[in-house]
Amino acid sequence: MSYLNNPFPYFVGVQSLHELANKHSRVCIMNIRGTESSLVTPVSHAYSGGNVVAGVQYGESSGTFETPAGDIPVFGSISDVIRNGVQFDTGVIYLPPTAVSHAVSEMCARNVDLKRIIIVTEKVPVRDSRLIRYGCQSRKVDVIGANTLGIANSWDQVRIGGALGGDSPGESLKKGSVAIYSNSGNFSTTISEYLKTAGFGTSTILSSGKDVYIHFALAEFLYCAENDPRTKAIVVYVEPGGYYEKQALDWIEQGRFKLTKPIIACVTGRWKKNLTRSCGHAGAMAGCGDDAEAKEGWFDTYFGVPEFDPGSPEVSQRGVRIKSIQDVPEAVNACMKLYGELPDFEPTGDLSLKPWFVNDQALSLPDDLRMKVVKAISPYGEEIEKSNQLIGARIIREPMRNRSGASSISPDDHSISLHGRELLDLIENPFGAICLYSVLKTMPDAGSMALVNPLLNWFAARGSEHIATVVRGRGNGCTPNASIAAEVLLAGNNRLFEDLRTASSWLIDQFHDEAGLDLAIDEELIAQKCHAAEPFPRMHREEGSGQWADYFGALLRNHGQETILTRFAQEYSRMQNEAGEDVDPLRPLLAAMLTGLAWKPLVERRISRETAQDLGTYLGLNGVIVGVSPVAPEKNHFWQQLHAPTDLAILETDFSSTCFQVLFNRVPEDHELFAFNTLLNLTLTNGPGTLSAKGAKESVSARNHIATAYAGFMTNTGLAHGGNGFEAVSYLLKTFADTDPYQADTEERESVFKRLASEATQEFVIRKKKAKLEGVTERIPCINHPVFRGKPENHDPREVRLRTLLKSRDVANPFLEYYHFLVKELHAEGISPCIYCVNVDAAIACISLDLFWEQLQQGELSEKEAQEIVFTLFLYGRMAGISAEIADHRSRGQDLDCRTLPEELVFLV
Amino acid sequence: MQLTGLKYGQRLLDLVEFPVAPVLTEEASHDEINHLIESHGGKCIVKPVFLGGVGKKGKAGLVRIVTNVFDAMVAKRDLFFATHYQGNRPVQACGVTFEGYIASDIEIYASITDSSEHRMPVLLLTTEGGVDVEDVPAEKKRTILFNPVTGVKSFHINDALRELNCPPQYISALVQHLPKLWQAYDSYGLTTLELNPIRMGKVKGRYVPFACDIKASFDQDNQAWKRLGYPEEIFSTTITQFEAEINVLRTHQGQSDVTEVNPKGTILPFIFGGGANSAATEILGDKAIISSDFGGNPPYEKIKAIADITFRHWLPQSNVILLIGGRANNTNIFTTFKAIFDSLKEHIGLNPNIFVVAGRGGPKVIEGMVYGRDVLDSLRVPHRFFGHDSSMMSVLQHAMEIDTFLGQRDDATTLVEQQHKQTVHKLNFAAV
Repeated sequence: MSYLNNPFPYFVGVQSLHELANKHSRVCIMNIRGTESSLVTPVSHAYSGGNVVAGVQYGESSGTFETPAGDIPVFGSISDVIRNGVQFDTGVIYLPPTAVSHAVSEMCARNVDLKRIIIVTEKVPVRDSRLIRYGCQSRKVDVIGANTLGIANSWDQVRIGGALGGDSPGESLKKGSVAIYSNSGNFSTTISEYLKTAGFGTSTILSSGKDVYIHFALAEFLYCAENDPRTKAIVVYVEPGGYYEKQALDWIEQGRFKLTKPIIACVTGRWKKNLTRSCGHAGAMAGCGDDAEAKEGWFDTYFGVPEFDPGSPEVSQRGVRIKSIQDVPEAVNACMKLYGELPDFEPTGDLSLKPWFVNDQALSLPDDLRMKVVKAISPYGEEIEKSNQLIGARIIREPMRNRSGASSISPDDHSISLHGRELLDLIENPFGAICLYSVLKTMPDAGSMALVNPLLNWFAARGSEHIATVVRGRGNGCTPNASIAAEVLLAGNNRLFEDLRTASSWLIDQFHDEAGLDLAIDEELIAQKCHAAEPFPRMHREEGSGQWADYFGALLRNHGQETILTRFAQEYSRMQNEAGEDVDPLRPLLAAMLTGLAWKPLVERRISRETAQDLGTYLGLNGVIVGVSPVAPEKNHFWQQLHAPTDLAILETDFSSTCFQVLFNRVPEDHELFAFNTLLNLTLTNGPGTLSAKGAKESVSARNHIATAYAGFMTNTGLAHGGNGFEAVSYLLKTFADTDPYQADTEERESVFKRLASEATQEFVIRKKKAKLEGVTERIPCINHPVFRGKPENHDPREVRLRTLLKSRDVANPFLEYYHFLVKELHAEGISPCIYCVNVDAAIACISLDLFWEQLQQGELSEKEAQEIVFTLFLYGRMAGISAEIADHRSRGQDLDCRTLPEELVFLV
Repeated sequence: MQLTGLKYGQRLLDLVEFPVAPVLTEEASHDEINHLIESHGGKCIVKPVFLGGVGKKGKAGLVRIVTNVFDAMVAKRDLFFATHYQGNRPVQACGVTFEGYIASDIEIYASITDSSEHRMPVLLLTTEGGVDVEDVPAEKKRTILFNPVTGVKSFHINDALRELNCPPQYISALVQHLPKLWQAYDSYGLTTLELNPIRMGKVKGRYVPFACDIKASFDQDNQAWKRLGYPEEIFSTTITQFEAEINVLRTHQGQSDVTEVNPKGTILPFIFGGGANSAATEILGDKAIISSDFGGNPPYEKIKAIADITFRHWLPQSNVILLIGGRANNTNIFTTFKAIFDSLKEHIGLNPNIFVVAGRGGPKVIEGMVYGRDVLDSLRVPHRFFGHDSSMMSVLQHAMEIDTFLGQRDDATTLVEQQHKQTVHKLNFAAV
């Protein structure tokens, strides 16, 4: 080997730090399109004034790599780079570990002008590093790394290799007089940040890597720093393992080369003494005599002064050792003072604790641990301010196909949850509360419920206005999902929805920063907002709105539910009317009530702002569905009252009871209402994979209005989904055509049910055989389930829960009992391989049938109407669950994210 | 990844045909042991078997020379579960070996390692082995530097032995066999190979160097060790269940290095960067449950999987979750924070009383912090986020103070708070 004119017993190709990386460096990057390079190279290239002259990507014969500073030509090999006349002196390797030594060989073999290689890759095997060392020494090429973040020259604004200075290198790499040598890439940048607080910038920063082999080690760095006129002090950060530092310091002591500049050294990793395998840097493992304590001793001996104490800073001409990198600014300052050197620029702050975000929640901390937010340094402070202006949850948009942030299904027991709460734990809540919970992720409290039912009922009354569409659909043979969906579609994004949304948005803008979480009334603030520069959105007066406004005003007062928002809405309307303006008094008040209901989850960032503003739309569409769904509106007294109320107190009906009365045209008994409410909640959701949820989500994915997405849910239901109960009712009516299911004697009833089950089984066998011959399938509705199957005896947990609940209230359902006899009989007769579950649709059908059996027998209800009721009941429950999916998908999803990828499509012949 | 002793080391040396003293394991019959003793001058050596790298057994009195089966059995009983200390760390034996006694008037020490001083492989040789090589005077040791491509050659060994005044009758055998150590070292991904002692026995009237003990370290980034076919459990003593689960995720893209520091600790640190790992673990001391380096810009899926495992193991006992690192260069803070906080959302039920302290800078730091704040607010978890303008060491100190305070709360208060939190959690679990 022949060496340059330098003092080392091995090849070192540079004399000064400046030579390592400067504006004349020409760089070629191996694996330029790799994951890390793709992120880092564009920033490096732009920062360094376009110093990357070529990239290599195996398997690519030509092409370009785009960067803000222009395209970089990409070749398939180093030979191609050279053949195309591109010259470079520095190679950077981003390849996976096993490919690194091969790439080094390729660069050395193919490029005679090569001066240095920077290996960014981590976890290069020691054996390969050994061979790289040997090969590059023979070829006289300097190697930096492996596991390095490269070199940065703050004077020339050049960085080569990794991402020193991060994504905005200009911020960290300020021109100055301190050189940094660090085993840690991260600390290279962090130390340069810390130095700025004392007014010092950097000359050259080298991230040495901390593998077993450090090819460009401390001795070489110190020698080059001595020869670098820009550098006046050197910060060194090292970890246990290896004798590189001892060698460097010994050589200075021995006079092999001189160093006249101070070193500020930090050694960490005492705890690594007993490690038997690396944690962190691969080479940071102490052998015998090269642990952190030993290294501290080497430096202390060299400096001749003890560890730096910021309280009484003592340093020597040679420098000082610091305990941690937070002492870098003071220690550098002390050393520079000793040499009469001044800081490079005005200090940029200090390193004291400055929390950018603090929330102690309800935790009571002692005074010395309490903290207040400190405004972050620029540009971070501005970014935080900007983010704080964003109200509500900030949910990152992501593809939502087959995914949901609202409902989930447990892979273990297939239990369904909505917003993290198991469905079976939700079913006893009032259905009205569930409608709110679905959208707001928060269950309304008892006080709020005084508003929730009247609001839902008001929307149902309002929704009933266009029942003619549904009547027409029914006349044309539409199933309820189709005819109701038609009306929902037509509801669109109507003026009411838009007004409520606009008003809610105004209220959020005006009151978010000034009103508290409890929305306490503040008359002064109300007066101020009544004259806000941005006026409240103008809404045209609607006929009859005055009486509703008075009604809701009284409701708010009587139940102590007034908020600053509702008071503002009333005050605003009053002022406008006094000024002779014909403004609607109801819509502002409705918007204020709705916004108040959404306030807490909005402020606590559990829902997005968009969801809060859309609450009126969701409840409005629920209202349309309920309002247009009675099967015989002309005979339904309750619906008539709701449609054209003479007594506004009807709005205070429990919303579950409203749904009952709209469907069954009678006032429910307590036990009936309980069963009905449970049923509604039970059908809330069956996870995001159900057809109904997918219909809604796919519609959202196509960027439709909420109403269209609702219709998407309804058009994705049908006789096989939701209408399954519809078929079950028909089936049960036939089964019990000549039998009274309500026989008083239990034993006799069981005997009858067994007989019926046996007959039904035999009838099914014949039907099935016949169907087989015809090439069709035959089934009994509402038994078996694609999820709850495969065991000797199967249960749908929702049906089990419902049945248990009913039993706990002594509510017997003969139809459901019959179904259980039937599934056992089917198995006993060898028709089913196991005892099928009675699924939740059966429970819905049975409870529904129980509810209108009497009306059917009396001829007050036709069979067709009964079947329609069962289907509609399913739609009621599911509409609430779907509102959760729509709100979630709208806040979280991306356009077209439910699209099936072409490669997943299958053509069938 | 280290191994000690001939039970497993024999396989490595057999592969390169380096002679090894005959070895029987704890399962050997009385007849086999008796035969071993009879065929080795009436002596055999009983040693405890330790998994991992455990040295200085002789100094600790854990090596017995016995002359009959009865004494061998007594030694087996005494040493089978012997406890030995590596620094302050106790290690327990899990078996014994019976090794043939090689009568020799000389003990050789030979080791190969990669030298940071010379930046090449070196073979260290002395004819005064059998003791710690550090205790051997410099003039009685020779360091042979050699070309890593061609390996150590017989003439290197010959020259060194002659300089060391090795008795001439042994030189030929040693120059014949010692170069084989390089084959083992280079072929199976070793970073250290040490034979101490090598004793000179006779076979058919000719001297043969027998390896009587071995230490070896393997490079975990070089898969060549797998060619040895060792059962993985021989390296498992130094790997806990938690570490093993995380190790499965080890790839060259992003770090997933962890070490269990104190399984009874109360601060659960997610440390980013090798430097931060070294510095932060030092400051946290035994308050830290683990030490980790999750830097290197890990993808979301990887850091999420890491967080899932980490929370499952350690969240219940933790007072503070600490996210700490310097100003990242290329690690996407948003990605890492999102993965960790998404995982925390899923595991918060394990400990709703947690406190989160984060200190970090780098790309997309504000997006990451805002995301974290939103999740923690929705979970009602108290938190502090510090940027890179706060000293990382001060953030660590602050986290330790918070941990101390939380650890001092009386149990009754904690229980009430816990119940409150669980209720809140149930209501708001998937809030964001």
